Amino acid sequence: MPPTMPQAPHKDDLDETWSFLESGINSVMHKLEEGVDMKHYMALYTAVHNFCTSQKAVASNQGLQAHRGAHLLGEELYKLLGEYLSRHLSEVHEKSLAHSEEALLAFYIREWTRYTTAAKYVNHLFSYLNRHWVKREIDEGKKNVYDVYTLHLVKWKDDFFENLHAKVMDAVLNLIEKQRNGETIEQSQIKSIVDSFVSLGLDENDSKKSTLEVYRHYFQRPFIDATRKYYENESRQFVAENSVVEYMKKAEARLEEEKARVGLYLHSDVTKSLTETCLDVLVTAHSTLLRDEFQILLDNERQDDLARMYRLLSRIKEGLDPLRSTFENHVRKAGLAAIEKVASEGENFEPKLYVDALLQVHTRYQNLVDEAFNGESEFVRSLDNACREFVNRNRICKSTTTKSPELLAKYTDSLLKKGSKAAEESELEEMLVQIMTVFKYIEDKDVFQKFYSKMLAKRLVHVSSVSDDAETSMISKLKEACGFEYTNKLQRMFQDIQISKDLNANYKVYQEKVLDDDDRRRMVDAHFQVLGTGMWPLNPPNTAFSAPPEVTKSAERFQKFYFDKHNGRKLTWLWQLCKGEVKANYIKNAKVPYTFQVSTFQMGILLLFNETDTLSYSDIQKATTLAPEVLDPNLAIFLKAKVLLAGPDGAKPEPTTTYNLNYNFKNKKVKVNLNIQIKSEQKVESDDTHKTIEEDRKLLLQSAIVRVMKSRKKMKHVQLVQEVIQQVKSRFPPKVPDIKKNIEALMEKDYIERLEGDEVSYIA
Amino acid sequence: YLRKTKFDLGRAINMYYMDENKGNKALVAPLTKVFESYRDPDTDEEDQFGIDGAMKYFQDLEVALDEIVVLGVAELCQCPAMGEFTKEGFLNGWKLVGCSTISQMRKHIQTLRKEIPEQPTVFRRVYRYSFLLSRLQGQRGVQFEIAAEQWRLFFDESSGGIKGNTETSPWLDWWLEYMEKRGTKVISKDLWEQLEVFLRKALEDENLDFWDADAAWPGLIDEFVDFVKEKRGGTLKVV
Repeated sequence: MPPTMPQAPHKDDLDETWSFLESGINSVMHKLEEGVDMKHYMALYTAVHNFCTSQKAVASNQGLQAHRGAHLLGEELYKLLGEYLSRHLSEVHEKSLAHSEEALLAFYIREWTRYTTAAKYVNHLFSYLNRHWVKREIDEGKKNVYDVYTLHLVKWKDDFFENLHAKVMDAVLNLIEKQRNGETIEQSQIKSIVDSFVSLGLDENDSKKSTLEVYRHYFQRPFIDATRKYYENESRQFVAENSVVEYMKKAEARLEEEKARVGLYLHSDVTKSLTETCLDVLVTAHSTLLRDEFQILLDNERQDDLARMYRLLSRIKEGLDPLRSTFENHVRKAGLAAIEKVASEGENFEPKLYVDALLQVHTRYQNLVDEAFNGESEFVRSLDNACREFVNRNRICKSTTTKSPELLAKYTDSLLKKGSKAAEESELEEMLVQIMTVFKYIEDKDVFQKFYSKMLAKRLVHVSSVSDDAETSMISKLKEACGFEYTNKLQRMFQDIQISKDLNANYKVYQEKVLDDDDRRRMVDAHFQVLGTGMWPLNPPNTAFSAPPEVTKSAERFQKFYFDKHNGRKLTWLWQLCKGEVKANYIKNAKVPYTFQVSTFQMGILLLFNETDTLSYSDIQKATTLAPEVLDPNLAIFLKAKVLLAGPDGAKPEPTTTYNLNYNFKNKKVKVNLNIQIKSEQKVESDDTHKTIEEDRKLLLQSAIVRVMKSRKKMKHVQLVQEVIQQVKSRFPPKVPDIKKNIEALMEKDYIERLEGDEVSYIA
Repeated sequence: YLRKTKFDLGRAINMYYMDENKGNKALVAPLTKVFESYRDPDTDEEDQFGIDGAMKYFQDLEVALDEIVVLGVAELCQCPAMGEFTKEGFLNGWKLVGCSTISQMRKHIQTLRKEIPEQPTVFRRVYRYSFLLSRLQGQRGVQFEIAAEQWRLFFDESSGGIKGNTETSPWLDWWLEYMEKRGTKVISKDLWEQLEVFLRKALEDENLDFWDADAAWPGLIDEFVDFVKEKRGGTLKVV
């Protein structure tokens, strides 16, 4: 509290009033910490009030002119205050010259705090002026007139800040650089400086609002420039001395650090440009270097580093694009290499080996995409592209892309067939899911369908499915992937088997009724399956065959039964698919009679030996009417198993060769399986399947063409080709020349005709 | 005619032909006489004459059998098969061009001889008709051997066709060589027609810039282009 309180000034006297005010303000400015007593404060406030109102009172006597006087005198006071502030600030500036760096910052902050606190008080003191004179001036649109508090800020900015900001900023930037270099600094200083800069942002048009202009111009810009420079230097140096992997760690850490810096003591407005600058300098500038490292990281499977690279490059524009193609290439090569390895094992590798190789590569990179690349959709697409490439075009399917689906189908068969290492149910399901993964990439889905249905047919006919549930599960998976049409036949095959079961039950009942005793004694225990011709990929036997009378009888009885039920249907006996068991009671040294599991053809041969022990080749052929292609290999099986003995020993199957029943047959097992598929048969079967695929494709293409033309009536050739590709793509990738060929074939058949200008039209 | 029909083009044309036919009615009697003179009542059926009559007829017309104009006449008279004339086709054909005597016919043939190589539309009409003539009974396509003979006629100036081989590219020879190599037995109508279109364009643009793998050319022609490329040493440009 000032020891002597000056007398309240005369209300009309400007000089007196001002000097009274000045001393008051001065004490607020310099000695605020000592406090201002209420009385003095009130006196000052009153002085301002009195000064203004007294003029008003005088003015009201003198009419219009006086009204103006109030203005003038208010203005005087305002001006004097401004001058006072300028004076004060230039003093402060003088003092500031003594300081530099951190001390300067401390000084600046101290003065700023003092000044702004004082400003608030002064603002109150002059609130009468604010409310009237200033308000009117502003309302009248005068520029450069502010309320008293703002006047303080404007003065600070113009008279002090303008002279000092560069020095202050230097100090700030030095401080930040120190921190970046790892030293501890007084962060609050910077925070205060930033706040001060922000406060100085005054809106020219509306003093109530603040803008960030000053801050942006005087703080942000130098700060960003400094940041850029700092990291340019640092990264250049770091890269020169360290590995790329190390650099990525560094860069990532730096980015984090800068992000934290904003929260600690910077204005959030800076975030965007700071991040951009850092990314630009730390990532974009080195992106080529990073990308070059990508392949190396892939080769070494450095998942963490790949993830880091992904995180860094994903933050810059188009940063990842070059990586995608590298990745795609890499996966493709990995796939091809894996298959190369399988192929080098020779011609006859297990389908499992092949599928496993495909799956392994896929799983490995699927994981990588998920873990390191965040499962990003574009990378997933690259992975898919690469997989599709190496699944369909690799060394093993060099000659034809249909090899992959064939092998996949065979692998599936091996899983679903009884007798394979019986997997747990859940495990099997897992494997089926994996198969679908590969299936997704297969282009020639129709080939898979063909082979699959062939093998399914076999499993069903031979009752060798591992479980109905697994079969159903697989079919529903295929249905989900390719639609109802794709699995229609497979499902119908299932139904046929079901119906056959009921049929056999009915037949048993029927049999009970019609059989006489004689029949009963000679009866063969039989199971029949009736399969729809259109649904099953089965062909009638390729050889004539006279079934042994025992079998024929049963067959005829069943036929009669069936025709009674379903008039007008046709039954074809697929002897080549039938099998049975015969008991060998003739063998010496056998405590328990051996049972031979044989095909019907083999049964036909063996049963002949019920009448005699020795038969010649021509006898056998005559009796069974089997074609030599079928008869010879089957005889060979008997010889190999020593069920029959050739005479002379080792003779080739010629009309004169004789075959004797071996009474000394020995085998470890009681049940002997002689129904082995012959290698050459397998090959023929596979070739046949490929041939039917070709035929089916032709039909598919032609029906697609007709379908398109029927709806469009007339269209350009190129478009037609495109449409057809679209339509059949889900089954197999058609070749344009094949489409053309089929278009021409349809022209020949007068379904469509050629018009002028590359157009084709439909002939109704 | 236009004025009479108040410029209705369709009616004008109809009227024109009606008048024309009136005038041509007079030709029926002499043409029938000519027709009958080549018909052998012992072997030929009613209203047509066969190969013997045709030979004599062409002899009288002073036309050699290895000339394209033979096919021109066949087209005019809409012969159902090689060397067979029907009375209806014979009368209609000649009536259309206003000829009733052998000498008038000879004169018309002179014009036709000139027109076939010179006017692409006439050439194409005769060429396409000859496909029908070249088919064997009950077949949809033409045997390659017969087709090759025909191509040799049509694309050879000495038999009254157009040039088939040029200095830079023996198109016709290449085509025949290619087809021979490929062993195609039967030529479809589409291929027959498109080959003529293709060769015409190829003769105009020997670099085959007009050709486009995505265009509607028959597959065989696409493959032929590959063959030509090979002949030229891996490029389609004339070397």
